[in-house]
Amino acid sequence: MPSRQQKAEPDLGRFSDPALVVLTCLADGPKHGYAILQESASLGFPLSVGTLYGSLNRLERLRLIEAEASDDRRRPYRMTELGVGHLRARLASLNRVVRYGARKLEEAR
Amino acid sequence: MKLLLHLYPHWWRDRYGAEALDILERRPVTLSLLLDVMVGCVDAWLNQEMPPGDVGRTYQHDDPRGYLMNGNRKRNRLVASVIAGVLLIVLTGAFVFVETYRTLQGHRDGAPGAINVLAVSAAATAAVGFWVVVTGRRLHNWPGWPGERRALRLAGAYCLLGSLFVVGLALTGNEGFAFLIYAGLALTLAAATRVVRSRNPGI
Repeated sequence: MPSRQQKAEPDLGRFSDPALVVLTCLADGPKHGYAILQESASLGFPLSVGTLYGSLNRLERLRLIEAEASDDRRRPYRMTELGVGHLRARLASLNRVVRYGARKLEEAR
Repeated sequence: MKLLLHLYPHWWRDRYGAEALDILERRPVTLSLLLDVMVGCVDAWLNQEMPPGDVGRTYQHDDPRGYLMNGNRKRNRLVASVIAGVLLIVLTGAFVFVETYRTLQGHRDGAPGAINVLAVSAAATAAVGFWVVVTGRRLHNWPGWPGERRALRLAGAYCLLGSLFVVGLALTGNEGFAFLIYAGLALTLAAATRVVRSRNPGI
C-alpha cells in the first residue's frame, strides 16, 4: 500500500522516467531544451524531442520547473523548490530500491 | 519540420515551437524522428493544460481542476484523433507499398518480407465480402433502390471468392499473378459501383 508521501507525489504517468531525467539534468542549474537533450544522451538515457517537450510541459504544469525569460529561441528552464523536493524524494526512493535489490542479490549468493 | 510543427496546437508553438525547431533543424530527418514529432503532436493536442497565468492567451479558459484549458476539449480530442488516424494510414500505406514492391520484385535482396501483405489484405477483403454475404444489411443511410440487397450480396460473394483466390495464389508463391488479380478485383468492383450509380440516380 502506498505511503502518504508516495500518494502526495505528482503523477507524471508514462512521463515519470523522462521527467526524472529532465529534473536530474536541471539539478545543477537552468538549461534549455537542447542542453537537456545532450546531457540526457551523455547520461545514457537519450530523450527524443517529443518526449522532452511532453515532459517539460508536464513538469511546468505541476510547477516542478519554470521557464526563465529569454529573448533567444532557446528558453532556459530551472527547477522550482517543489521540483528540488520532488527530485530528492525520487532519488531517495530509487536509492532504497537499489540498496534493497543489491542486498537481496548478496543474500541469494 | 516547420510544416509538421504547424500541426501542433497554437499555444504549444508559442511556447516551445521556436526552440523545438532549433533542435529539429540540427538533426537528420529520419523516420523515427518524424514519428516522434507526430506522436508528440497527438500528445500536445490531448494534454492541453498549462498552469494559470503562465501563457495568458485569450483562448484559454478555467477548468474545474484549476488549470487553464486551451480550446475546447472535444475539439482537441477530435483533432488528435484525426492526426493519429492520418498517421496510422500513412504508416500502413507506406508499409503495404514497400512490402508489395518487395513481393513483386521477388525479394531480390534475399530478405523476406515481414508478412505476406497481399495475403493479409486479400484475407481482410474476403472477410468484408463474407460479412456482406451473410448479413446482406443495407449500409447506414444508404438510399434504397430495387435489387439493392441482391446486388450487395452478389458483390460480397464476388469479393469473397475473388479474395480467397488471391490469398491462395499469394500463399503458393504466385505473388505477381495474385497482385494482378487483386488489382483487377478492385477495379471491377469500382467499375460495377460506377455503373450501378449511373443507372440509379440518387444513390
